[in-house]
Amino acid sequence: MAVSGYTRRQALQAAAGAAGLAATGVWSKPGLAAATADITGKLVAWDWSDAPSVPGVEAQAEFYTKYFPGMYKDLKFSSTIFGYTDLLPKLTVAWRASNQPDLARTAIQWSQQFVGTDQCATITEEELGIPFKEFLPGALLSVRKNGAGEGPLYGIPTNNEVMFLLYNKAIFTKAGLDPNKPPTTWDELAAFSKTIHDKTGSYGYGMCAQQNQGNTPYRFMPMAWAYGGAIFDELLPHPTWRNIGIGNDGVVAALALYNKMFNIDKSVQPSAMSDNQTNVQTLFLDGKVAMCIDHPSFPQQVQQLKPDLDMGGALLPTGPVRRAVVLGGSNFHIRKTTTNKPAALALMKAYLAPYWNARLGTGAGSEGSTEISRASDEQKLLSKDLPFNDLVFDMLPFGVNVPLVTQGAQIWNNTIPGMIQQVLSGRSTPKEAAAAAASQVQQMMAT
Amino acid sequence: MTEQVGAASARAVWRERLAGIPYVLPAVLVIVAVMSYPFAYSIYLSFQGTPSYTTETHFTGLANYAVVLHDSVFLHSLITTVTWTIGCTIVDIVFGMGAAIIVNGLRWFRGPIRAALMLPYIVGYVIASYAWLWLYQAEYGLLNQVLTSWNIISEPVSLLSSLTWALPAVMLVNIWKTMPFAMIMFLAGLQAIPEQTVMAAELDGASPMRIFFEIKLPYLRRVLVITSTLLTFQNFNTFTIPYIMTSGGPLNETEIVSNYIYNLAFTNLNFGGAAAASVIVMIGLMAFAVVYVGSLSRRQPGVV
Repeated sequence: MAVSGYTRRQALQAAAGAAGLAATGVWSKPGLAAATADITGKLVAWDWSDAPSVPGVEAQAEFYTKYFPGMYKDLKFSSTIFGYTDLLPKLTVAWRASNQPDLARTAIQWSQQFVGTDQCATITEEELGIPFKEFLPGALLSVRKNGAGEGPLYGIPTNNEVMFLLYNKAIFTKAGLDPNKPPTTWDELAAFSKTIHDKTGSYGYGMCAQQNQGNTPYRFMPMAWAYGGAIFDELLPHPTWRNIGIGNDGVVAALALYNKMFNIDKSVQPSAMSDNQTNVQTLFLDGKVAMCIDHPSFPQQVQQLKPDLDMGGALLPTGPVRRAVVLGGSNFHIRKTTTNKPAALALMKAYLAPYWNARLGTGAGSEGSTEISRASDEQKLLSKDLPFNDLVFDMLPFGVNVPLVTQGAQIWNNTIPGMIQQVLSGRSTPKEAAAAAASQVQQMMAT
Repeated sequence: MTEQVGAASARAVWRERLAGIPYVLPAVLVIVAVMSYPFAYSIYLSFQGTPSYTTETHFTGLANYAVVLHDSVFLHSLITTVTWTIGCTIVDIVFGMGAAIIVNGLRWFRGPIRAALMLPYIVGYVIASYAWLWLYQAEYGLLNQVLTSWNIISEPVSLLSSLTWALPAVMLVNIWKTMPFAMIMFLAGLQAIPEQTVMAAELDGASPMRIFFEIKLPYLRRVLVITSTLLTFQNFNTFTIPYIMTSGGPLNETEIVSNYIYNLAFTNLNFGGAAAASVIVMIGLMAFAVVYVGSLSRRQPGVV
């Protein structure tokens, strides 16, 4: 192990050691406790939470309001949990003014705007006490400056996730398709979608294509990557994020398939251009859409809201070149100008203890970020209640990063949805739209 | 003697004016304290380069203004915003006044009907946006269900995905939300018109149309100025409805200038550009306010 003295056994022992706090009447969930006497002063933490309906979010409240404050009684601790879309603008303004919070958890696609602009403190293995090889290599790219393969870390992954394919078995049967044989390629998915719409009237596939919406590329890019497309050179083990690939044939092929499904076959819902993830989820729950791509937490919501919906899960389809999925998740970042880095690190350590990392990761609709937490008993226990969670583990190796450049959010939220809308609205051909997007990205990177 | 009376009268006017200052001073101070710093900082920022790869800023003169004014998305959003503002304000005024006249003329159930018409104004913008989102929804929205069942359309139509219909559909939601404000303002104005004036006109045989145009409308002039000005600013600065319902799409067709500025700042991290766009918009709105209020509030001879 890279960190002297750290082994899995010791980590587990350290985690169990915190249970000793129970004897003193303090909250008793196991964690990687730092020496409590050293952690004093003030600490402000910001986090985000998904909709309250996502199973397991109560773990987050428990961690921030009971467990962590209970561990460090001399620490003046405050935490705020924002909605998913609220955190980014608030944190952007706060940190640019070098203001609170001391640490924040942000979605993986937002990290570079803080890392790349030198607003985050570095974190070493020694400080964290956890070997970095516990984390997925792709996740570590997201917390290095400009997504580099090597160099200091400016954040720590807290949870990781990948999406998978969900389908309605009853609609498959009605359409004459084998309910136990989901599509394995994107072409097959398009063909199934057409068959379903032609034979049942339901829409075959739930397409997200709303403008200025991160959900849109989360569904499109796996297809583009599968056809050999890319935004930059993110499919390389050590991407440079300088070679622009968005105008290539793979992206054009994926756009052409989207166009076929939306405009020619009309096998996806007509509202696709104004639909985001939530809209498609509702359509899937209502049986209006037979297939969709979604987060690991969604099947559990389906089970709770529509227990009679016979649902199947599958790996995301593959393409002529590869199988791929967006590597999602979140990272913790410590503000560079914080005056209480030890306390911020203590919170990170507590969060990353296998028990909490598994629980909080699951609560965020993901898995924990460390290998040890993903293999923990707690995770095994949680996985029992998470339908198709094995698919997440199977899909993780296919995870590809979002653009790890400071302009990443702009490319992800504006350029890619704009390119898709150009094609779906009939304003541009796939080739024209991809070329225009490449030109936009080039301009952004030049400025 | 006349000069002495005139001087005393002028002093009295000034005393009266000065007497009002202590009453408004606290409010003025709060407004200045809250608004002056962000206002000044926005102007300062609009002359600064704020590249997305750093938090450092540097003086760039008018560069941000030049970039924003050459951005086709900004110009498109300005046109959309003007269309949105004029369209929504005119419909708000016309229908608000119409509703006020009807409600004012009611003999029974005036209270409950007025309360019912006020409901959209009370509902929050987010709730209203989501409610209408589901009404418009192509696959199971009420609108499509009704139109399909009446055989008006053969298959569901997604208004919010349509390059032609998305903007009018979102404008309708805004009108639904803001029209009650116009109605309540005009209703208050109508109730302030002296009854004997209207009755005298009726006795003289004036038609209802003539009474409206010759008596009621002149009385409502001040209310009209205030209401239309407030609605113009409110409609111009709308953010929530298009943000939630369409996120500015499809293809920027519903992107109004406040959404553009938000995206420029918080997605593109171009704070200097966003500040420049804000200043351009502010100058436009101030010019509008001066011209519009000035032209509408001119008193005509014989008119109250």
